[in-house]
Amino acid sequence: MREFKILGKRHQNKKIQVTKYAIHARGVDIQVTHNIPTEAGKSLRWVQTVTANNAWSRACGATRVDPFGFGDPSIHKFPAPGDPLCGCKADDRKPFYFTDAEFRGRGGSDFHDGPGTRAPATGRRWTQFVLALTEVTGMHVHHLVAIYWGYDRKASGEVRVAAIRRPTTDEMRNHGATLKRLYPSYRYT
Amino acid sequence: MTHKTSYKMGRQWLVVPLGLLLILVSAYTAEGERADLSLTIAVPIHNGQRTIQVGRQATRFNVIIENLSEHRVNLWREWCSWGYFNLRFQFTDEKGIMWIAKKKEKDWEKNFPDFVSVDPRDKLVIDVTFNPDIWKNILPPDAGRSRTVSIVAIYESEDSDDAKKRGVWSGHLVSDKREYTLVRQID
Repeated sequence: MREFKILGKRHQNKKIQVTKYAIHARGVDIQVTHNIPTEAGKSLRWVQTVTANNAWSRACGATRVDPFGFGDPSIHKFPAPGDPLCGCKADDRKPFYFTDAEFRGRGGSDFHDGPGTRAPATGRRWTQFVLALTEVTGMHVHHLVAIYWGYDRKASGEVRVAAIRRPTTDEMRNHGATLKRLYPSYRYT
Repeated sequence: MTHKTSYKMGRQWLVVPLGLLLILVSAYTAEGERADLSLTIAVPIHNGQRTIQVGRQATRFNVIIENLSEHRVNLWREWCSWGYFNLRFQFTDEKGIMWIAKKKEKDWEKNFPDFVSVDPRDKLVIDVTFNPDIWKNILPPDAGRSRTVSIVAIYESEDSDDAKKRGVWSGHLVSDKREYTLVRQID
């Protein structure tokens, strides 16, 4: 499976590894792990933004911090601090993919997501993600390494996955701007 | 002792251990078949009937999974796709026509395998609202405002790699069949 090394100075040459990237009936299942040790006073947290042509992106912003939407009370509970009036909600008030309780309960190291969508009547539904492993110190979220991944669901029901790669500069800029828009009290580098 | 008698005695010697073996096998099978979990639709009788509302504003009812075993059992949580589709209902009307109500497809954003652990004699209570946005086939198309049907709840958890990895229970549970009155709520 693919590996992506950290290119910056902090934890240089440590890596994340995609251990699963497989199509399921409605979308794709991805699992990513890392080999970076945790240091006292810091935590390693996954942050993900999503861009799609679905109802959530139309209502909540073309690019959103994942999760952020409406319609599922088990996930959509809290308005984002940076956009409290749009009607869309997240599962907590922090920019991380796993809530603090999930992070503690899972041991924190692996990332797992299995998004899916219904087949559209016509055309295709596309969903693109930028997933980053970050080192968090207080309110400072420092990006160590990121990947781009995603999938399409066609009207025929077929699912096609995007090739996993490092995000472009524009994609990272968009990712950072979205984090700042929805969770402005954090500092992102 | 004739050859015939000795053959008969030999058979008797065989019958005793075979009988014991049979008893042991039946006891083991009974143990093996004893359900680890039970499934119940928790709708008590009120004014002589068990009523379940159907509609976007319907009140919820509960389906309960009880751990009857002596060990902790892990079950998928309903919010993730590993657990979302596990519960369904089989309806039978007074004419004997049968149909299945199950969850509609939905879009998934954050979605990862998540489970709860249920201790011995503890229960997992699942909230169910017969909302047509969530469930399909909860009322037949020709149903009026109310309909009396027999309902069986079915809970099925797939024996997947994810279940094995996390020690999540897999199998098939069926509740008792009981009569319910489905009442359509006006949205």
